[in-house]
Amino acid sequence: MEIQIPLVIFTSFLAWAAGIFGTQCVLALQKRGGAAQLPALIASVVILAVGGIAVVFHLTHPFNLFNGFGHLTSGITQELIAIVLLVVVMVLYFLMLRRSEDNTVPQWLAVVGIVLTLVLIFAMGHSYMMPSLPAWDTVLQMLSLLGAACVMGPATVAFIGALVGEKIEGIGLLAVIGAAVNAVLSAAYMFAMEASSASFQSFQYYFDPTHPNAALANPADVSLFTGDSMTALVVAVIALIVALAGAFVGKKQDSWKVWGAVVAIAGLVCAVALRIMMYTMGETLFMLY
Amino acid sequence: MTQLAICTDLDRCVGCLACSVSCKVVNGVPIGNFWNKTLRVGPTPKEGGSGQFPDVETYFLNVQCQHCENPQCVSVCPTEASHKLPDGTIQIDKSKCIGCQFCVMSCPYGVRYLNEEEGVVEKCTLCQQRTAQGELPQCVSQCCGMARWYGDAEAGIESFEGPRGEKLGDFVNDFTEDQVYQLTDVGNGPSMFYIMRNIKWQGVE
Repeated sequence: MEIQIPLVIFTSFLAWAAGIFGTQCVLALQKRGGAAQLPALIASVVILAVGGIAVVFHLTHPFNLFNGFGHLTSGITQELIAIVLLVVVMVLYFLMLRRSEDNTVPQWLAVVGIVLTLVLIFAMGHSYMMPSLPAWDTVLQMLSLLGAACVMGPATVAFIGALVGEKIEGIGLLAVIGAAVNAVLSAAYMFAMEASSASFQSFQYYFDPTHPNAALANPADVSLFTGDSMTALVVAVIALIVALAGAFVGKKQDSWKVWGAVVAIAGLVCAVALRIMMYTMGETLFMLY
Repeated sequence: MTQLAICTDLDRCVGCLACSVSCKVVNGVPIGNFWNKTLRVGPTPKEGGSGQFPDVETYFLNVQCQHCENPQCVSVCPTEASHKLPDGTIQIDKSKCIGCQFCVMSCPYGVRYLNEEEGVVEKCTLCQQRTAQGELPQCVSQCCGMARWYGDAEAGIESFEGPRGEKLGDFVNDFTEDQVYQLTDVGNGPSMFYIMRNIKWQGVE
């Protein structure tokens, strides 16, 4: 399938935004984060907005966005509802932070924030789970988005903390756990994608008169080790290793100005590469047509 | 309940492409898009044969929107542009389509196309403009091999009507239930039928 860049940016950036907001909610539960809370919230909102704007360019016309969303069984509608709810909670979070004298928010709000970030991630992943596309139709696809949020969120908050001079207790451990979770979940999804080619329909020899010069569609060709998939695979593997190593070094040196940025960028690269693989591996079950 | 559908006797199909071409003509299908395709499946070596001619078999497979019982394209559509009508067909309200193409991705058969000029997704309508006036879908009425038959699946495929007014059950050679095939079902429940008697169906039903 043709790579849908707006959707790749949308899912990767929303996972990033959810990761940052989820991390600051986890920190808020322990009354941590301090001066990093507000800039982290702003970063999360900006990244959410970038993802939201990107997805508009996937439509055949940007104004189609106002064309009456509302079919509840649709993953897109579910994503939209999750985003709106998350934005409402973000606004509440902002107001509570502004009212607070010690940069804390009520515990209930932090819990609601964590729940909604998870809802957004799973709604986003679920919208791509289609039986027609074996490489997408797995829970591991959904969990890979959670992995992306786990690696990018803590690293970005650690980076922001270092920038504003706020020492956030425990952020190093969160960053290492996040990078490890991302490495495991991303690797698991890559294995699942590779295994998905067993689900394709094989018709041996056939001929499509509308594409007389096209090669026969062969399920064996749908592999992470061919063409664009191979490039994305190499990039993703390098990025997840860099993120993991960066998190370890950052924790050891307790220096996040550089390592926080390195881990967050590597996490984003890994997420984008994984989404690109989704499209290069996104062949329909019935490959002939 | 009604489920309008087409049944193709693949043993009668000669692969002339009249169905594919007439579909494009009557529906104004843009260049590069196909609401109905005729694929040649084979030559496939026969089981136990030499693997060389004449121990091979071939059939032609007409693929179009399967007007599924539980269509994924309808479920994923955020604006209900894709919808199922009481007659069982899946139609697209172009004024509601936003061109997100999730329906294209969700279709197991890849039979939906983006009309780039109009910015909306299109596919086989089962010639709704013709059937509403009591006519047959163009691919059925133009089938010179008398392979295509149209009717209500709920009433049984034997009652399907051909281009000259005959009924499938009265016209085609005898067939058994296990000689009636459908495309791969991944929970969507395709509604189109294919009859093939002595050739091995390729792929999984």
